[in-house]
Amino acid sequence: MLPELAHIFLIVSFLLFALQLIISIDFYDLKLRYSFFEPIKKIAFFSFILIVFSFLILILSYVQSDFSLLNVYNNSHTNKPLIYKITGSWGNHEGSLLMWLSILSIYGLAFLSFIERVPKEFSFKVLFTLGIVNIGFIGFTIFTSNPFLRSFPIPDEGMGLNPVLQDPGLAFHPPLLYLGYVGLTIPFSYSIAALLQEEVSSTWAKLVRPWILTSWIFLTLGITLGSWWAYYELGWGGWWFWDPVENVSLLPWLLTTALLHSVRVTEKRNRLKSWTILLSILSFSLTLLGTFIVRSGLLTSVHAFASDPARGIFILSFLVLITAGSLLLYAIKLDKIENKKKIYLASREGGLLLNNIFLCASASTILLGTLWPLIIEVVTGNDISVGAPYFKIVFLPLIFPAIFLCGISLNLNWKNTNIENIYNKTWKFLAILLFFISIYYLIFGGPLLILLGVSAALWLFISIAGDFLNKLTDKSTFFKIKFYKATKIKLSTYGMYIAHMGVGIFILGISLSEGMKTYYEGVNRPSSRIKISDYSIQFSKLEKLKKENWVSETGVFLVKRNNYEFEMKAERRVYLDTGMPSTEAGIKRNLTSHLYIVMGQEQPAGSGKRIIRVYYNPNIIFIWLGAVVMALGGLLSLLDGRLKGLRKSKS
Amino acid sequence: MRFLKYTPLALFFIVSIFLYNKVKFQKKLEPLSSALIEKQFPNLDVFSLDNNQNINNYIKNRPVVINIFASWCAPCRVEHKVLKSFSEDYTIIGIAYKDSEENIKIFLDELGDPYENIFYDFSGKESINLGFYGVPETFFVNKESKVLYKHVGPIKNEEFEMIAPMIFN
Repeated sequence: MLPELAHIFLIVSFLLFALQLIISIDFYDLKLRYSFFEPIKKIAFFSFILIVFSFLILILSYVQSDFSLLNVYNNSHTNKPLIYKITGSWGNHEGSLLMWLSILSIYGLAFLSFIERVPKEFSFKVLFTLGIVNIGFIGFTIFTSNPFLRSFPIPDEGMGLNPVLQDPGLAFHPPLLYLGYVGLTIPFSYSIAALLQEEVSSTWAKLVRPWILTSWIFLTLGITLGSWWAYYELGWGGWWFWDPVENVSLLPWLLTTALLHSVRVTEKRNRLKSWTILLSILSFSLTLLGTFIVRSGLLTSVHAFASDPARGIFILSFLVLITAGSLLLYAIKLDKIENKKKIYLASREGGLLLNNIFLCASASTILLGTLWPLIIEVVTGNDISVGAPYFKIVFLPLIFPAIFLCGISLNLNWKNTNIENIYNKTWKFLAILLFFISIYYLIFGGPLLILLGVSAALWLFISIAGDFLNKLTDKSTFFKIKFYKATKIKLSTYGMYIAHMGVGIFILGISLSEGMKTYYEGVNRPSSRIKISDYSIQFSKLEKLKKENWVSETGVFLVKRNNYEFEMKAERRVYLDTGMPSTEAGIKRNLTSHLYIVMGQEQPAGSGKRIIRVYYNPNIIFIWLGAVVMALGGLLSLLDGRLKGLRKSKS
Repeated sequence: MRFLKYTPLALFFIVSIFLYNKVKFQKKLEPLSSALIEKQFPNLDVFSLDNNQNINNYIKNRPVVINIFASWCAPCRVEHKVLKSFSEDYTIIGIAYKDSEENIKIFLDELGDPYENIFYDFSGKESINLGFYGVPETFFVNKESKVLYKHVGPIKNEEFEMIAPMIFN
C-alpha cells in the first residue's frame, strides 16, 4: 500500500508544479502573475514535503525488504546489514534519482524559509524556475525510472547489492555529492530570476553567495570522499582516475569555484555581472550533462548505471530545453545587465578574473577530453578513450602560473593597487620562497616535479601569511594591539585564508605522494618476501572465512620496517547473493603515509601462487586533508554571513 | 561583437547534436541471454568421466537443463538447492567449469547431487563456445538440442519453475 501512496505523492507533486507554472503566467498578456504569490508558496511547500515523504517510503520498503518492489528486489537482499539496506535505496538509478528529487525539495524548503529576506517579485521568479526544474526531474522519475514498480510473483529473495557498494562510503558519498550538485539549482534559479528582472546588483550577489558556497562545500566534500572511497575500497591504488564520471563531477566543481570568485567581484565591485550569471547557468547545465552522461550509459565508467536509451533521450531533451532556454535568455538580456565597466588587472578583481580564466580553461580542457571519445565515435565510428596522460599534460602547465598569480592576488586590494608595491612584495615573497625551498632541497633533495609542487604550496602559504601580517601592521608594535587587530579581521577572510591553505596542502599532497610513491607487482606463494622502500614484507599465510553474506580468503602479511614489526591483512571476498568478488586492500597508515597490499586470485587454482601488488604511497593523506581544509574554509565563510545576520537581527 | 553573446548557445547546440547522435544511434547492447537463443546447442569437447561420453551425443533427443557450475563458486552453492528441488522432474546436466573431479566430489557430497551426469571443462576453454559469462549459468535445451533460454547467475525457484516446462514443448 505504502509504495502506491509514495507513487501517488510523486504524481501529485508533478501535477502541483504544473499547476504552479500555469497559474504563474497570465496568458492574456504573457506576464507573471505576482498576485498568486501566496498560494504558489503553499503549493511549493506542499509538493516539496510530498517528495521527501515518497523518498522516506522507498527507504522504508528497503528496510522491510519488500521484494514486491522491483527496485528493492534488484538491489537488496535479506541477509544484508540494516545500514546497507538503507544505503541500497540510493545505490541504483531509480532510487538515487528519487534522492536527487528529495534533496532538491530540501533546498526548496530551505529557500522558502529564507524567503522573507528576498524581494517578493524576485522570489516569485526563483520559485518559477525551481518549478520548471522540478517538473523535469519528477517527470524523468515517473515516466522513465519509477522506483515504485511492483513485480509479481513476489520473489523470496533479492538480487543483492553490488559488493563495491557495500561500504560505509555509500552512506555518505552520493548524498554529499548530490547536496552539492542539486544545490546549484538555487544559484541557477537566482540567475534566471535576475535575468528576468533585468537587474544584477551587489545585493543580488550577496544573497546568492551563501547558496553557491553551500553547494561548493558539499561538492568538495562529496568528490573528496568519492576519491577516498575509490582508493580505499576499489583497491586500484590511486585517488583520481580521470574516469568520465569523475570528470563530470569535477567540471561543476571547477565552475562553481570560479563562480565563487566571480560573484565576489560582482558583490564588491559591481563588475563581471554577466559572467557570473553565465557561470551559474553553465555550472548547473554541467550537472545536468553529468546526469545525462551517467544515466544514459553513454560513456563507460565505474559509475555506469544500467543504460536505457529512453532515459537518455528524456534527460537530453530536458538538458537542451533548460540550457538552451537559459542561454537564449542570457543572450537577449545581456546588454541590460552588463555595465561594461573596466577592470584593472593590478587589483583584487583583476586577480580573480585571472583565476576565472584559469579555472574555465581547465574546465574546458577536461570537458573536451571527456567528450572527445564520443565526438570521435559519432564522426568516425571508432572507439577511442582519453586517459590520464592527456589530462596530466593539459592540466600541469596551467597549475603553476595560476598558483603564482593566486599568491599575488591574495595581497592585492580591491579597485587598484600601487604597482610598485606589488613588485616589492613579490620579490620579498620570492626571496622567502627561495630560502625555504633551498632548505628543503638540502634536507630532502628530490626531483624537479616535487620541488615545483612544494614551491607552489609554500608560495601560497607565504602569500597568505604576507596578507595576514599586512592586515596586522600598525605603527605601534604592541602585541596586544596586533592581537586585537587579528580579532577584527572578518571570519570570511579567515575562511578564505584557510581554503587557500587547503589548496596548498592539496598540491603538497599530490606532488609529494606522486613523486615518492613506489610500486611492486609479482607472483608470490606463501612465505616469499617482498622488499619495497624501507619495508620488508613476508606473505606468511592464508586464512579462509565464511560469514552470513560472504566467503573470504585473507592473506596475512608480516611487515618489517627497521626494527618495527606488524601484521597486515589483504582480503578477497565473494558475496553469496550476487557471486561477485570484491577486494579489500590491506592498508597500513601512519600519520601521513599508506602501505597498501592487494592480493589477487589464486592462479592457477591449487598452485598457491597469487599475484601480490604492493603500493607505498607516502604523504597521500595530504591530498584529502587539503580538500577537507578547503571545505572547512568555505564553512567559515558561510558562518560569517550567518553570524552577521544574527547580529543584525539582535540590534 | 553583437553576435558574440550567442557563442555559448551556439557551442552548446554543437555539443548537443553530438550527444543526440550518440544516444540515437547507440550500439544496442543485446541482452546477455540472446546470443544463443533459438540456436543449436554448440558442439563442445567436454566429456563425462565415467564412460567418456561427449555431451552432444548424451543430450541428443532429450529435453535437458544444462548447468555450468564450479565447486569454488560461492553463488553456485546458493543455487544448488534450487537445482536439487527440480532434479526429479527434469534432467539436469552439469558442466564443471575449471574444476577437478576430486573437488567436485567433495562439493556434491556436502550439498547433494542434482546432476544426472557431469561433464568436465578442465581448461574452461570449451565453455567459451557457449558465450559463457560466469558461473553459474543455466541453459534450457529442448529435444532438438535447441537452446530455448539461458540464465546468467544463480537461478531462483520461481524462475526455474517458469522457464523449465518449455523444454518439453
